[in-house]
Amino acid sequence: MLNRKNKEDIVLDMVVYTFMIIFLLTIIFPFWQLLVDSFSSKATANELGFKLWPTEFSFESYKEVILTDVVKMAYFNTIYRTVLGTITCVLITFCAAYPLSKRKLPFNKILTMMVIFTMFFSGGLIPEYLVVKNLNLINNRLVLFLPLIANGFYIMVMRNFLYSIPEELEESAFLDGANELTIAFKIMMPLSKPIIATISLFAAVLFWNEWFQAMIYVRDPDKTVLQLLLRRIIQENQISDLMIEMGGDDATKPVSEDSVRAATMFITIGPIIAAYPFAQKYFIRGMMTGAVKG
Amino acid sequence: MKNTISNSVINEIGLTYKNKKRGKLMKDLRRYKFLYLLILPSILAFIIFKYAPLYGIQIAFKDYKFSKGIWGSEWVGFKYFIKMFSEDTFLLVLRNTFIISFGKILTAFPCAIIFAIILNEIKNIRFKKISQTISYLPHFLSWVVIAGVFKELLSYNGPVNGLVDLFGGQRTLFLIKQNYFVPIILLSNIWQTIGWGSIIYLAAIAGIDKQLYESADIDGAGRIKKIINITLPSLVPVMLILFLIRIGHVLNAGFNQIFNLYTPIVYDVADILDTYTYRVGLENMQFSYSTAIGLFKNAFGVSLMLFVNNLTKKVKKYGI
Repeated sequence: MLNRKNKEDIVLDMVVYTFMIIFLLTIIFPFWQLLVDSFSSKATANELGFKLWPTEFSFESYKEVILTDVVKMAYFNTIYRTVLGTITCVLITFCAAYPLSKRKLPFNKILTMMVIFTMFFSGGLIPEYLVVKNLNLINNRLVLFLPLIANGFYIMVMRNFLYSIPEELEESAFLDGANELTIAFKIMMPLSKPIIATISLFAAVLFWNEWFQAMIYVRDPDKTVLQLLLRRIIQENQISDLMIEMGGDDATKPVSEDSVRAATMFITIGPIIAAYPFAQKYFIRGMMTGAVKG
Repeated sequence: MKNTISNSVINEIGLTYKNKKRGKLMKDLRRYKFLYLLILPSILAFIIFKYAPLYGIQIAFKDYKFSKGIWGSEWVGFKYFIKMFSEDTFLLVLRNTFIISFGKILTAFPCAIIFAIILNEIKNIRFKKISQTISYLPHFLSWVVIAGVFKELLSYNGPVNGLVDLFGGQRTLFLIKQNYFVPIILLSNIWQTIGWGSIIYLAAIAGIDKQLYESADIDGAGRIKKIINITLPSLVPVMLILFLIRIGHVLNAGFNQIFNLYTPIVYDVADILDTYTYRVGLENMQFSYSTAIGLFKNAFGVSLMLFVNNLTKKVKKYGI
């Protein structure tokens, strides 16, 4: 590469770096503002204008938000659905992807078609609602993840990965006297660790962020999830529920609405922001594996 | 004599072949017994949550009443489909869906490509990696959160209005103005997808033959010329395929995003198929009508996908 630092190079570099910095700021800035708001004391939270640092630093909002029953239940439910949902989903995915990765399996093509079909055609909102209703799952905590464990896309991604494991491995295991069960769980599964990690992360993020199913299938407030709570606070300005639980009236409350809203948002996205930089390589790899056949 | 012998020999061979085939099938089924057992729970999950609802689709052709159940409700044929196309609201919703979807394709699509090219031009590896990571953040957040962020930004006392004020303009509540709503949708969509969407293009750029750039160097081409004449054309195949796939999804205009940002005031421009289906079904309780709309969307979507899939195959085959 020639090292000419001519005019074009300099101008281009300037443009590129300037654009990127401005763009990155548009992402960082709103979240930084919210972060600052969440750590602001009641007196300073409502100040107008852009703040780089809380005028008055305070943990009050977080303390109050975390201590309310509403938030505690929402956090519990979110973790419940994410953990159970991810485990179940990965198991169901592996149970389908592994057999489907065996090209010699009779009826393989039909089964694969049936999985792919569900990726493009679905019953729709009402028929799915009726199924859940007829299973008596409405308002049951299980509905927070069960309807979502059958995922055609994940199965295809995992299957594509399993294709890459050489058949010779299986054949030599057979020769050594192993049966299908041993092969599947003692050999294939450990070898599939990367793809299992990928699908787990896909599923975990899906469950953590999911709100619509929770909204239509669950009525009880003690079964709500973080995203729903956040949505109620943002959309319907129902921050009053939260505030009422904190006790006192407007004057004596130790926190401001804006601050509480910001704090709630951060406890919801906190885990995601913390985890995604480390998880991104799995996501990218997973997307590539899926896209190749897609 | 000779004929009957050869006939019976042929019959023998035919029978043994059929028996062998059936025998092979039975042997296969027995041999793969474990795999079938393994796939059983997944099949169950699919039947319950994906195929059972398909049975319920029939209520699009019935006057579904809760009390009567699916069986008891009476058939009304295409009543609801006729209703769809004769209703102004539905046609408006359809129009909005296309406008917003095409708008997204026209705006976000080029932006992802440009972003990938810009990223590729960043020489400092550290800065490049950090930029990428930060740009992926919006992709990992739910629209509940992103809508919250934008509502803050666009609020009366928010930063955007602050800027407007600074330049002497009048503060406006952007999200409830019909003129501003769709542009906000398009912009926020770019914001959310530009980072993640550039991944595939970056991967494609990485695959371009380095010699092309080297010979361009020798010919005295500057960076911009290289981008226009080498990078962009090489990306065309990828662009085409992704574009076709996106067209196949044209009826999905972004339920999560719109549902969290819209208000009744802007229904006229904001309502898309999915939000309309939701309100008709779960708010107005018109189950049959809602299912009919959903069925229309699915059927149209699938036909579009099949058509697009065919096109994609042709593109891949003939190259560009």
